[in-house]
Amino acid sequence: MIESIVEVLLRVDYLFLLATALRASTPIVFAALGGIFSERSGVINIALEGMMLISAYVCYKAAVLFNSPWLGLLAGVLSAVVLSLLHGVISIRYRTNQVVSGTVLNIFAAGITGFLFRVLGAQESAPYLPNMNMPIVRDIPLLGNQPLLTWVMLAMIALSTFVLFRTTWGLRTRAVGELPRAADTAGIAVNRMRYLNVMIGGVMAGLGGAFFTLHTVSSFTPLMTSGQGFIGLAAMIFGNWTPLPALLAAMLFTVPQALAGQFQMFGVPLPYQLISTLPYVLTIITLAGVVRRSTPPAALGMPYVK
Amino acid sequence: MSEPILQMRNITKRFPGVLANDRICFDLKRGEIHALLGENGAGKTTLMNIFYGLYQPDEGEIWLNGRRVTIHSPKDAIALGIGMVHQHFTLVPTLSVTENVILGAETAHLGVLDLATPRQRILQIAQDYGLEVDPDALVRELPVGVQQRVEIIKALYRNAQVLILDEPTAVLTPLEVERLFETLRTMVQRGVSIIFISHKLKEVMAIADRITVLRQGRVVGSTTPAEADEAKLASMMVGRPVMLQVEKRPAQPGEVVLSVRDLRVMSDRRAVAVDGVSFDVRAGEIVGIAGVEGNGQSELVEAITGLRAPVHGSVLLCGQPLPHALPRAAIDAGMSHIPEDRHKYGMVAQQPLAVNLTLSTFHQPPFAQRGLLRWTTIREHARRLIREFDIRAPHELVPIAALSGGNQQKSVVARELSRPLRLLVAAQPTRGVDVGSIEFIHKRIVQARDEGAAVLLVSAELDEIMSLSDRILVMFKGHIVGERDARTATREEIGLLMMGRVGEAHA
Ligand SMILES: Nc1ncnc2c1ncn2[C@@H]1O[C@H](COP(=O)(O)OP(=O)(O)OP(=O)(O)O)[C@@H](O)[C@H]1O
Ligand SMILES: [Mg+2]
Repeated sequence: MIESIVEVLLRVDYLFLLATALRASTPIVFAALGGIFSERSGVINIALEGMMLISAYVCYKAAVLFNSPWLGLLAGVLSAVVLSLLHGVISIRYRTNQVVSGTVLNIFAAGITGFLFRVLGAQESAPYLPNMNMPIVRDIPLLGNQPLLTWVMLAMIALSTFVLFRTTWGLRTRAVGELPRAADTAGIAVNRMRYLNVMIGGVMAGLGGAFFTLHTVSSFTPLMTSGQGFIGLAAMIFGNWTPLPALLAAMLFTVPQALAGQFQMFGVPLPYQLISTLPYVLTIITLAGVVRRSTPPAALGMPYVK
Repeated sequence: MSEPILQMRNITKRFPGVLANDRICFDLKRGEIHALLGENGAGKTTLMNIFYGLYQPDEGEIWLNGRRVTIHSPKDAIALGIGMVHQHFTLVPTLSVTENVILGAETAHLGVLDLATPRQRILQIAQDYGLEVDPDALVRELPVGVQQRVEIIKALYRNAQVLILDEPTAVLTPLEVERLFETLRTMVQRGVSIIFISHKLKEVMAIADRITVLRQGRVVGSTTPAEADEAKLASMMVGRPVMLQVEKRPAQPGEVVLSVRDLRVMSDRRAVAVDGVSFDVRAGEIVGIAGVEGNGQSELVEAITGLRAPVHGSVLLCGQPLPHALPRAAIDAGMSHIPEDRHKYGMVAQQPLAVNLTLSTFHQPPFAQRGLLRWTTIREHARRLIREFDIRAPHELVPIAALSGGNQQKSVVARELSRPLRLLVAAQPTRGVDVGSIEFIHKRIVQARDEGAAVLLVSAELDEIMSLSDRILVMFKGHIVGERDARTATREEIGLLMMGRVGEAHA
């Protein structure tokens, strides 16, 4: 058995493997970016999973309805933003425990999408968003022929990094999440910054959700986000609340996943169930090793009261 | 010094159960340093927070430059040229000095930060006012003295015409205080007007042009350093004569209670902070550790009290070695600890005062029985301590965060002194506390000594060390560089030892 594993490892096309992993990282990284904005401003956001799920559903329905993936995308993102606003109101305005609020919203999202799926069904297939397969572009190694949203994800990493560390917005966001009193005495409206950052989180989660129904499969199935929002949060923590390291952290999850796929393809005699748990086990191990060393924003989870 | 730049007229502010400001009138002339004095909880910070837009007054008017103004938020205050250095700093530790200074007043092009221009201006301000600081350093890496300079630069950067300093010297070394005063004088020459809050009467006498005293939310009176002396100020504040000197009988040391043997402790930055320190403290004596802050005293105290594991050496209480890094063991062995940073180690801010007053013993009878808390006892105990230690609080169930800074400190002291103790480790026990309460806390520490406790006192206040200790150890760069009998030691000698000039101190 060892030989066959080694043999597979020798035969694998690693560029293809990386490309697969990068594509699979897309929703995870969107969730991580959403988490970064929200948590950098001081609001815990475990509702990203639910926001992605709602967005996945709305993207699908709207794309079918308008026969346009673009309008689907728009509607999906909007739905996630609405959910994030709700999270903001519950946790910023009413100062409810943010983990509780997030949990409730996740349950709500799972419930409502499951319900609508049963009632309305999902037979028709939705129009796809394009892949980046124009001439020349499609031949770029790693990036060619990738889903549009994977490109958007990469662009968002660059943009988020710039916004967080080079702009007034980013500076204020970080201050609000670290020591809101300092921001307040400097004349910054703490809660306003928090609302807006939670809603940026909603936009990110919305884009992540779209990946499921407008790229991967053109239909919706209940709970199809399958915990990727949570893995995104793990990637955020692993990446110490910074965008590019969050991508690398996501790859720690998706590369073994892609590898597991290859093992299966080449018929390595390991039970499929065992192989597919590998990425999850790896995530737990790496998180356990790293979390101690990463430092969350100091005011994370604490509502601001003057 | 002519027309008032600021007038506060009949300001009244109520909190639930407290009249924090009661028809206060206060004015500030252009280019003057006006000191605000008062007991803990007298309402100084509240009045200044109103002026800075953090609170709204219930009644009263604020006039600035001859115009009536309403200040809804710090943003309004900043726009009116008001700057404030808060009692508890408001700097973001993870941001750089420049980022902290510009926060909320950024220069940006289309939202993109320009850090280079502000950096230049910060260097300029630093040079003009003698506020030396590295604009690129992260704030969390700076000592408190430098952090305070950053706070002042922050205000000057916004062109503050009126600067409020709320207990700016509480955390400074004497040398840093001197520097701060020079800066303040430069600022006054350039037309800035300053409101200066402090509990240290010496400082107030040295720097102020005028002094106004508050008591229980009211103005008691105004005076000048020329007309007043420390004793008069103290009695104005407290409403009775105050003993500024500690009264105590000679110590009668008994058996050794604490012995520290060859202790080596690392700092957070993994440098050796305490290097092979050994000493004993006996029952019935107060041993003071003098030293400029940052010479290993904090790490030493943390190692003794079980908050930090030493890398070498041992701590023995009555001959028994204490397990490393186990505060509960130290408490159960009869150790009390007044920590230097009450926010970090002394209290749970959002919990009720009553809970905070039993924090170290809540798990024992009479406060708990069979794993359940006994609230009636806890509350009774709290009410007793509030009375005995004169803690100003509306009742025992308010979150301790709602108390004034000095009253929080008194609560911690009350808790630690209110149980049977063999050893008291008191680090900066009177930081931020008013003269009346200093007198009281000192009395209680001496009383604990007389009842047979060993006391280890760590203080950056040379006066406190000199007047309270029976024996003085001086710490410098992690070593004990000298030991003196407090009855014969001189300030000068201790001062030299504190700077590591051991040879000269022998002379
Ligand atoms: N946010 C608040 N909520 C409730 N009560 C408060 C609040 N802030 C202050 N108080 C109360 O108002 C009174 C005045 O407090 P303040 O902080 O102004 O005192 P202070 O003169 O600055 O004292 P210190 O010298 O100890 O700093 C105190 O009794 C305090 O308990
Ligand atoms: Mg105060």
